[in-house]
Amino acid sequence: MRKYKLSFVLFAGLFCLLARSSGQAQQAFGYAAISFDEGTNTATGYASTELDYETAYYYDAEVQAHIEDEDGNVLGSGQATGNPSASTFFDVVQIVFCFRISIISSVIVAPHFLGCNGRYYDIFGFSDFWFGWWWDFGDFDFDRRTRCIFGRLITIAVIIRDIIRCLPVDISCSKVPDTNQLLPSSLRNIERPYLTGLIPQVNDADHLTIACRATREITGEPQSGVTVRFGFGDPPNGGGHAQHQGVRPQGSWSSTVVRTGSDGWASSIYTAPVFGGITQILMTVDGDEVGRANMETKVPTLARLQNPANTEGYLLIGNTQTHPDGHYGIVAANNGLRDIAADYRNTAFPNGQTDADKLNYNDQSLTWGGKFDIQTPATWQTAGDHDEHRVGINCDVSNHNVPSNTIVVNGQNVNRRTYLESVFNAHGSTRTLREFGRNHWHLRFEFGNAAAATAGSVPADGVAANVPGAIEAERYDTTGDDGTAGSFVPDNGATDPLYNYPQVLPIAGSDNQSYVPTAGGQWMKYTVNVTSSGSYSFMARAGSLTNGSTFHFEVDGIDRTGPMSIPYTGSADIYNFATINDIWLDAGQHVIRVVVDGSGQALGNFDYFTINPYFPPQGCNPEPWEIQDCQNSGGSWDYGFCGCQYYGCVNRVCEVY
Amino acid sequence: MMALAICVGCSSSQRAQTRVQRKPLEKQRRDYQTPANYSPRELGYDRTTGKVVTYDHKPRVELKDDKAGKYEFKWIGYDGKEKAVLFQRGDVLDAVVTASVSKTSDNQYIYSYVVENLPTSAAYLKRFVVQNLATDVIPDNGGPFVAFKMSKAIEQFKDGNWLSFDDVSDDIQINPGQKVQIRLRSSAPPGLVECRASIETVMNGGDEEMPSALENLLPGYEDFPKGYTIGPVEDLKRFTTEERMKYMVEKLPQFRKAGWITDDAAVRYERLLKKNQTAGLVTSVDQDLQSEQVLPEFAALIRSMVNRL
Repeated sequence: MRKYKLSFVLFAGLFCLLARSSGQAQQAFGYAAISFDEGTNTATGYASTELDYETAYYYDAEVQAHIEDEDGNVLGSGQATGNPSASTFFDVVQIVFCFRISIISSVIVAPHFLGCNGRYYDIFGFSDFWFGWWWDFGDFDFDRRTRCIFGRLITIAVIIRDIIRCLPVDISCSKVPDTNQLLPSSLRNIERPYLTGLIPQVNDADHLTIACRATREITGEPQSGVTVRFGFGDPPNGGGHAQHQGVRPQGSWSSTVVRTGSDGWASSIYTAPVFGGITQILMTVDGDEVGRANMETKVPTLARLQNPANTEGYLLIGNTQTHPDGHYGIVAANNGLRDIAADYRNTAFPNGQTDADKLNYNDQSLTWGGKFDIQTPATWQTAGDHDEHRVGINCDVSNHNVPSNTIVVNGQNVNRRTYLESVFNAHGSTRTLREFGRNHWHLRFEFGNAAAATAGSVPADGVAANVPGAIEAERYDTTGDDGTAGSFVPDNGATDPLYNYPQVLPIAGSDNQSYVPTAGGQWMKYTVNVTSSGSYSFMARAGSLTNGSTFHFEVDGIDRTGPMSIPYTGSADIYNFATINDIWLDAGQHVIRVVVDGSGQALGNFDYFTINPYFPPQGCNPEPWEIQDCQNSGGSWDYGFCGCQYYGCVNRVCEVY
Repeated sequence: MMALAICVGCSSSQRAQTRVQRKPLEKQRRDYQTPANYSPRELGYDRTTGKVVTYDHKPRVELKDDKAGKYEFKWIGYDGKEKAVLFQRGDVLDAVVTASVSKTSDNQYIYSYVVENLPTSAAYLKRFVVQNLATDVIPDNGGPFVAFKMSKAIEQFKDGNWLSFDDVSDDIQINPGQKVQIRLRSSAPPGLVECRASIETVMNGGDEEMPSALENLLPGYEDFPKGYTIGPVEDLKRFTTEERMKYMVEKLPQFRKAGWITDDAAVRYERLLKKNQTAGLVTSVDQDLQSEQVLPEFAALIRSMVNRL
C-alpha cells in the first residue's frame, strides 16, 4: 500500500523593496486549508497570504504551497504573487491510497493578524511576531477516516482561530480625583485663595486626570496597545452664556490619543476651559464609548445678588442676551454691595431716594463664574475687559448718576463721589479702581481671606510644586497677599529694582533652561505639595566658582538640613549635585526655603532642586522580570545603581554630565 | 577686666529706657517690583487650531518717586498700546495717634483722638480707623472727617467694631505736618484697642483691567499702618476691680510694645496691679505721667480701672 505523504507548504514570501526597520511591527497574515473529497479522492489545497496596508506599501506578497506525500513526492503545487494579497489553489488526485498524512512544513510566514486593534487582543500573540517567524502544523499521522476529515479539521481550526483570535478587552475609565467639578482655568493668584477647599479633593485645581485601564476579559491581565481616544461628547452648555457665536471652548486634553502601556493604563489630563459651564468629556476605543462624564466648570459658592426691593438703594443693570444674568458673587461681596447701597441711600438721601438716584450695579460674575466675555458679539473671547470678573469678588458700579457734587452727610459738606468711595472702602473694596473712561468704579472686594493669610507666599503661576518631583530654581514664589515675600536678594547697590528679585538667566548652551545666581543672604521660597508623608532626599543642582560656599534648606521656617556645600565646580557654567538624605516631610502643603549662607556676591548658581523619596541603602535584589525587561529593552542591569543601565542612564532617565 | 565689666554695665544702664516715647503707627515695608515670573496674557483662540493665543504683555513696575512711594504699574494692553496705573505704597504714611478720654456727668465716656500726619509722610491722611468693643459707640460727626462702620467681613476688621473716620471733603486735607481730631462717645470705659490709618487707596485705572501679574501685587487692608490706642471696652463695665487689675497685667506687654510705659515702670506696675493696690496705682501714675514714665493713655486706663476717671 502506497503511502503518501501529503505535505502542504505555504510560503508567504515578501520581496523586499525597502529594508525593513526593525522597530516597526509590520503585519501579514495567511490562510491555509485542505479539503478532501472522498467521492473523487481528491484533495484540494488553498493557500493565501495578505499584507497589511503599511506593509504592502513596501512589499509584494508571494505564496508558494505544495502537497507532498510521505516520500516527498510533490503531488500538487501552486504559486502566486500580488499586492496586498496572493492566493493559490490546486487539486490533487489519486491520493486515495494514502495512509499517512504528514504535514511536515505547513508554514505561515509572519502570521501577524489584523483586526486586533482597539478593544481586542490577539490571543495567540501573533501580533508580536516578526517576519521570519512561522507556524508549523507539525507532523500528523492519521488513519484514513481521520485523513479524510483532515481538511475539515484544518478548516475548523482556521475558523476557530479566526473567531477566538480576537477576544474583547474590558476597559474602564476613572477620574483622578473623583470629582465632576473643576475650577475655570487661568484664575489669578489673588483669586485662588478665595477658592481653596471649596471643591472637595480638588482644592483649587482646574484639571484632573482621566485614567483608562484595559484588561483581558478572561484573565483580568492588563492589555497593552489598546488605543484610547480622549475627546468630547455633547456640546458644552450653561455657565451663564447664551447665543454666542463661534466654537465654544471645551477645555483641553494633554493627549487626545493614548495607547495603553504594559500595565494596561492610558491616561490624559483634562484641563477645564476658562468659561464656566458643562462640558461632556468622552473616551472611546475603536469608536466605541468606554467612558463619559459631564464636567462642571464652575466657581462654587457663587450666589445671585438678589433683585432689590423698592426700598433698597441699587438696581441691577447690564444683563444682555448673551449674558442674561451677570450678578453672581460670593456671599460676602453680595452683602457688601447691599450694605454699600444701604449706606449710600440712608446718608446721601435723607429725604428719600428715587430710582434714578439708586446705585447701578453692572456686571459681577456669571452664574458659574469663569471668564466673562463681554465683547459684542460674544464670540468666546478670552481677552478683553472683565478679566477679573471670574470668581465673584468684583462689581462695576456706574458713575453716571453719581455726580461729583457736594452733599450734606450728617451735617457736613462732603463730595458725593469721595463719600461713596469711602463707603466702598468700609464694605470691602479698598483698592477700588476708578475707571471713569468707562463710566464706572471697578470694585474689588478683598476680605483678607484666612486661607490667603496662611498661604503666605504664592507659588509661581499659583500652582504648588509636587513632591516627589523637581523644582526649577527660577520658579520661586511670588509675593503673597499677606505681604510675605517669595524671595529676597540682599541689596547689592544696584538702583534697578528689577535686581531686587532673584535673577533668572539662561544656562550657557541651553538657552531654554535657566538658573538663578545667588548672593550670600539670598533666599527663595518654593511652595510645595507633598503627596505622602515620608523620608525624602533633598538635592540641588548647582555650581560655584568659589570653594566653601554653603546653603541650607528650610521647611516651614525651620532649618532641616544644616549647611550644605554648594558644589565647587570651578566654573559658573558647570554644575554638580549636592544631596542630603533622610529628611522627613509630612503630607500636605509646605514652604521650602533655600537660603544661601554667608555674604558676598556670586556664591553659586542654582539650576534645579529635587525632592524624592529616600530609601535606606540595602542589597540590590531585582526581580527576574526586572532584569529580563531591562535586557529586552536594550539595557543591562546595574547592581551598583540597582537599576537598568542605558549608556549612562538609570531607569531611562538620562543625565548629561 | 573689672574696669571693662563696669564699663559694660554703665553702657548698658545708659541705654535703659528713661522716658516713654510715643511710637508712630507700625507699618510694614512692601516692595513692588517687576514680576520676574508671569504667564503670557491670553488674547483669544485660534479658530483653526482651537488653541489659546497669548502675547507677552510685559507687566512691569516702575518706581516714579521713591520718597513718595509712587509707582507706575505698566503693561502692554490688548490693543498693543502701553497702559499705566499710578500706585502709591501705603507705608509712606507716618502717623502718630494720641488719645484721651473723659467722663461726663451722665456716665458717658468721651474719647478723643488726635491723629498727626507727621512731616515725614509722603501723602495726606485719608482715614483713621479705630476699634471699639462696645455696642453704644456714637461717632462725633462734628469734625472734619466722616465716620463709616467697617464691615466685619474684612479680615483686619472682624474683631469687635471698627469705625473709619474718612476725609471725604473737597475742602479739607490733612497733609504732612497737620493733625486732625476725632471724637466718639460711649458708656463703655476705656481699654486697649487697635487702630489703623491710611492714605488714599482708590486708584485711577487704565482703560482696561490690570493684568493678573500686577493685580497680584496690590495690597488690601493689610497695607494700613496699625497700632494701639484706647477705646470703649464694654466688658470692663462688669469687671470687678480684681478682674480689671488682671486685665491690665495681661495687657502690660502690649503697653510696652506700644511705647506707653518704660520697662522699669512696667515692672513696678505689674507688682502694684497684682497686689491690687489701687491707691498706690493712682499715686504712681500721677507721678509717672509727670516724669514721662507713662503716656496719658496708660494713665487714663489706670484711673479708669480704679474709678478715678
